[in-house]
Amino acid sequence: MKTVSERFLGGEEGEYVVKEVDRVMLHDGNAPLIFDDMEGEDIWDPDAVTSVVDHFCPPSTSERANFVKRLREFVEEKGITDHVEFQGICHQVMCEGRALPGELVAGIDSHSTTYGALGAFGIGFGSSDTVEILKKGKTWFRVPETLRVEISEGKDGTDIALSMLEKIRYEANYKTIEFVDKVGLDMDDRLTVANMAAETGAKAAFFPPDEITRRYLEDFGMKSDVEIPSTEEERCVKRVDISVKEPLVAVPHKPYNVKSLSRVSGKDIDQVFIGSCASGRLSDLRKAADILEDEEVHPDVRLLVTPASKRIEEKALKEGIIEKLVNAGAVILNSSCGPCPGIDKGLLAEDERCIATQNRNYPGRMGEGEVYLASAEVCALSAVEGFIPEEVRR
Amino acid sequence: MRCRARVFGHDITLDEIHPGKYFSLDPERVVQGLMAGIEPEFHESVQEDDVIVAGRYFGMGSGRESGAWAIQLAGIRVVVAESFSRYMFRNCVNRGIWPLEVKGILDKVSEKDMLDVYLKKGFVILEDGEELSFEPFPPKMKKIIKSNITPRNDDVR
Repeated sequence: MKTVSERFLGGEEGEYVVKEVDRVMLHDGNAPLIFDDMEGEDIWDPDAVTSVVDHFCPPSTSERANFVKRLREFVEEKGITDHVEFQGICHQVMCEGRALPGELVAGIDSHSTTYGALGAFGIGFGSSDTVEILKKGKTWFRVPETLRVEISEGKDGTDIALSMLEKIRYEANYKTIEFVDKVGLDMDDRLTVANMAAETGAKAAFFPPDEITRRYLEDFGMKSDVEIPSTEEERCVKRVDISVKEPLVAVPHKPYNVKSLSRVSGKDIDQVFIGSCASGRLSDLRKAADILEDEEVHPDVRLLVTPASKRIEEKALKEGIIEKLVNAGAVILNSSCGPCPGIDKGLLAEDERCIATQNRNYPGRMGEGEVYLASAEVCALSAVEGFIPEEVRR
Repeated sequence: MRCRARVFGHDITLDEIHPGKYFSLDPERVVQGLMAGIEPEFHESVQEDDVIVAGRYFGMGSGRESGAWAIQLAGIRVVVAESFSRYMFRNCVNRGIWPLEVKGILDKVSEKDMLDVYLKKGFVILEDGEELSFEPFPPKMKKIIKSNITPRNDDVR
């Protein structure tokens, strides 16, 4: 039987193949590098391209404002029909009624693995590869080996993802991670896990589409009957079992430097960030609001919250989640990348410490200082206490 | 090709190779960011035909091509590492830079050693004369690159 990677890419494991893509995602953070190369060139199928402004949204410098302006002009000139601004972070936007199970999606960003939560095959590319994909609708791939990750216990997507990073580190570099979800995770949690799979170096991350996928797609008026069975275990290079029993925290400066919460508790916190393409979904905001309700953010802490999309923000407003967060002292930022990659709205000073729901804590990621990674619950509690808590009250 | 080695460690992420704050379309600004997450003054001492030598997993994390662009702008044509992230590998190829996977290189090379790199034959001669080999690009991949699916690296063609 074929592996999932062989189904999506054709050919056999280890082989170099040329394959057509179904969809392309561009964002303002990397698209500026393609403008010159695309001059005078047509896009093979402008309707298959989504353009998202989320990195410089709104821009904090005139140079960045020019990038966004040029992207709008590019969209107009090339006849791209799907351009979104102030609608959300690109990967969330792609998972709100765009990417479908069974599709091969090329994104100009390393976290394009996220679409695997929906049973699509999301693969990230640099700008030169993206130029060729836009012109020809296809590119070359090496058909990757498969690493199987079985999730048998765990409640929170971030905790499951951190456990995965601790166990795999970079072992999935150039490989596909296939998840066997024995827990029945919410789509929000699957999106977090597939997103953070990028930190292992994985080419793609994949949850086989199931009833949970179909219910999620129905919310967007989409249907999919595509069935893509998991790769047989004998054809996987390795199996990793994930069973999360306690909250986890990644300490600086690698996402795989994972420790149990109790081992890092007590560290003072200057900033808390709940957001990024790894988190900031409705279930994350709800968990944070449950903790922050009738509490106050510690006076020495700044709590920044970014809903992953405008749609999520609207739902959180209706549900009273935003009100609870604001009343506790949270600052709600518009849906964008913001402080996670050190772009704007919340960079750290020297020696400052942030705990965040994001996917990366590399040196310099958020400016100066250091970043710890944890679930929305641990982050919200840190905001109340002013330090990393010992345990999560349930 | 004779190159001067500029040595970095294992597990150097793209955010260190090219911090996000140097993202720009101005080549001068881009090249200033090269390796700035580790050595902010690196761009001042880098010379054309220097070779970056690193350990395992060079360029993990972000897929921003500004990292490979900065390497290209500095005139570096070869990066030798024990392994590369998928993004760094592809971005280097597309920018005309050779990403060479040479096992055990990091422990055997010191800063500013002179290396002789034989791209087509697939080996590197270290300063003390030791020869380390690497797998040349697979023929199928070369063929794909020749077919213009990946545009830039004339050397690989």
